[in-house]
Amino acid sequence: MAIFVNQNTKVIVQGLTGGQGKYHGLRNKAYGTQVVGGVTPGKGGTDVEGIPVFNTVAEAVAATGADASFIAVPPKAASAAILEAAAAGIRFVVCITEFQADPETDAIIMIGEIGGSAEEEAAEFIKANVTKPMSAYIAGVTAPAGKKMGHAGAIVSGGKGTAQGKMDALRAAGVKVGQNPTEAGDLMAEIIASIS
Amino acid sequence: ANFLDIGGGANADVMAAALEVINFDQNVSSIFINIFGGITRGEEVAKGIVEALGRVDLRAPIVIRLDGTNAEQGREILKNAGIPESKLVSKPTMLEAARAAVALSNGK
Repeated sequence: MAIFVNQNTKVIVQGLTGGQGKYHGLRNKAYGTQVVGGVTPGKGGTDVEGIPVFNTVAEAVAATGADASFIAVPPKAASAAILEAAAAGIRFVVCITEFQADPETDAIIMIGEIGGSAEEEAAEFIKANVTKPMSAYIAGVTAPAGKKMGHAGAIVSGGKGTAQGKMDALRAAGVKVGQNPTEAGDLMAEIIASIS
Repeated sequence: ANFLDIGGGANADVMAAALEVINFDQNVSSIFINIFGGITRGEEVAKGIVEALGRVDLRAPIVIRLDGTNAEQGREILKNAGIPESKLVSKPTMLEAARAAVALSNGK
């Protein structure tokens, strides 16, 4: 697996002043990660145990030179937070969003692709923690082994990271997997209809 | 089937260049353009297709599914460009367009 964050990476925590952000932010710092700042609109100028808080990602980056962000914000704010980080030049974003815990989330649809083992790990997590109905789509069902696919370079290598393997793992975890994006959408529509 | 990624945010030039690259391959029997644009804009894709058809004699027919950002605008541009159905056909969904592209390919 590629190493994205090391001891030299400067990390900001979007949502540092919130429960999850503070808990994980401080644990990361204690472990040795350079947590150089936090972002919470309206709380700029304060600090969390000495870590300065800024109103925007752009301000945090300007003050600290941060190049990675850990996002711990409510699901509704997650996509805006990611876009804000990207717009400010952050090159690596980790977004932990509690869809399982969010009372307003009724079902979860997950899109994955060939390469790596994130979807298999997600399947384990889903088995152990997720009670909400799910549908999924894994891109790359017909991708030839060893070929980089798309501008993000997804790849099946050494027989690992195949779409079939991921689909099997997710199905075993109770996720309804579609053969194409349209089918995944149809499965989600059925799920929503059945729980309404 | 072969796969070409035009990349997010592709403009008319990129779309036209992509079609020219595809046209070099003698084995291509139909071209399926499948767009659900987020940062990619429908009118840019459409302009690129119109431009490519003007620059180059594309051998293979195109089936296009154009959805997402500015898709309506893109579809209008294609409709008003006066392209014969033998060269370009537009389908509303990915699956319909894929089937049409396969049918055209098998017909050759």
